[in-house]
Amino acid sequence: MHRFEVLRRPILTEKTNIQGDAENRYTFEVDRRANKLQIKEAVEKAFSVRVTAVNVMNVPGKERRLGRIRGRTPGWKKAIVTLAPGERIQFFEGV
Amino acid sequence: MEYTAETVAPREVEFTIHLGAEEVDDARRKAAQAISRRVRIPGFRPGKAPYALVERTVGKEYLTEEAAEILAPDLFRRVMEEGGYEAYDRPTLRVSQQEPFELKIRVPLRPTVELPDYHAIRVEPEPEAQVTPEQVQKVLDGLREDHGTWVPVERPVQMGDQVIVDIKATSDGEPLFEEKETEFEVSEKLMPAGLAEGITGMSVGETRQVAVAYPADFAVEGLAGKSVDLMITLRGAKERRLPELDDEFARTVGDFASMEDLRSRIQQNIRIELEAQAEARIAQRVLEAVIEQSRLEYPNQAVEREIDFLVHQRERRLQQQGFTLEVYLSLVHKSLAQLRDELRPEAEETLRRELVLSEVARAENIGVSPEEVGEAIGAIAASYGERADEMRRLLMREEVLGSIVADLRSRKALARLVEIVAGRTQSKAEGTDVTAPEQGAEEEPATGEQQPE
Repeated sequence: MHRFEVLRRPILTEKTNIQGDAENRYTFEVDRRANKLQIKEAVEKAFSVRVTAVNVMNVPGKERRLGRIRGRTPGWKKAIVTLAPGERIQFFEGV
Repeated sequence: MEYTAETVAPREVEFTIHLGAEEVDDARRKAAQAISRRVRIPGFRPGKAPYALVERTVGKEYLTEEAAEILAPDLFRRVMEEGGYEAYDRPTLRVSQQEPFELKIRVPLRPTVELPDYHAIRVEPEPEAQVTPEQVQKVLDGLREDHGTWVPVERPVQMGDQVIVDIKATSDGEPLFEEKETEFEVSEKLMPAGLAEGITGMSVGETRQVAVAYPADFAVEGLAGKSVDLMITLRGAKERRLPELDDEFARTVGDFASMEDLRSRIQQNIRIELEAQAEARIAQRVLEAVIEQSRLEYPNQAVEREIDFLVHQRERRLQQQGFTLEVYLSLVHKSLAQLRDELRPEAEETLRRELVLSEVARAENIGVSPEEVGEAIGAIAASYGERADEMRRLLMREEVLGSIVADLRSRKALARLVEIVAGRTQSKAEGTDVTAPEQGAEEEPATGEQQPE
């Protein structure tokens, strides 16, 4: 799969904000088919940084109900990317 | 901080304020925090979102506006104090430039009143009220009319009589209407023209045919513009009989011993009335003369406020008649803006009076004592009869009380002004060259406590 398809969006929350500041780790939603190596390459190319580690996890979808109708929200894959010391991703900067 | 002050309208100043980038940035950060508490940003608890994210969410311009709001109160206080200005109303602010930051604060200022040397102003006194015998006679005639009676007569009908007739109306042979025993007064004003003349001279029991023409704009449709033949039969006639102006009449009118008594009472009443009118006229002239020579400056907001009040007053009056302002406006084909424009001269007039009078009250050290306020409230409440207590409670409310005090103060000031200008104060009555220092010597001893406004 092409590396432009891998990263879907950054996850901006209080938690990721703290991780970014304190541990240089940034979080993305990624394509479910992507593996750690692809994610690493995608982040390095997209933001011109060096990646030292990638942790991934599958986030299960949640059950939603509207009256008697049951449904499920889609699950997704989350990737927490650790950058080499001193590297920053501009997009998250100051956030 | 650097700023310039510019007078943009009468008694209205606009400050242009420039601030250092650091101060503005600081304020922006504070603003961002405040905004993040208000605006929910997903992923963050209220108040926890970082600055950059808030800026990205709401935009830098909004952030700057908010920062201006935070900065403004302090800045405003500083520039007002430094310039020695007194605000009349709330300021309005506008960020006129984002980068570098420029803030404009516009504020209406308290009106200024410069009174003329009103001790030197003189107005012609009103001529003394004269009650003429004709005026008395007119009142007496009115009383006679009120006590008149209708007495049946057997003579031919005259103008001013009341008649009972049967009428059959036809036009070109077509019957139009028929009325039995209808009663009316025969006078020149009777419609249609010619009817009164046709009836005069008739005797009871007589039948006459009268040709009349209804005017084209007659109120009853089907009659308007038609020539009609009226068959009139006179059933009865009554004459107006007025009572004689004698002592007996005086006793029936009221508690009067004789005609002489009644006459002198009438004369006295007219005199009181005329004197009150003269007093009102002279007060008006005095005030006009003083206003004329005063130098008044006030912001437009002051006039607008006065207009607001007039519109509000009118609205309340309409509501009592079961209208709303909107309905009224659409009935007379006016917009609210038009109405306000029409009220403007009146509002300005009132404003000028109030400004001058309150300044006079200040200059003359006129205060209102709690007893006077109590009396005024009592008087108003008493006019409400059974609901007096309820009314008294309403009048005791702070905002109402304030306006009662202001009103009393204005009235006292006007009375004082009339005394001075109409030359009724003994000490200054003859002097036309009264100078300012002497004004202080003329303080009223019994002004009582000054009420806070």
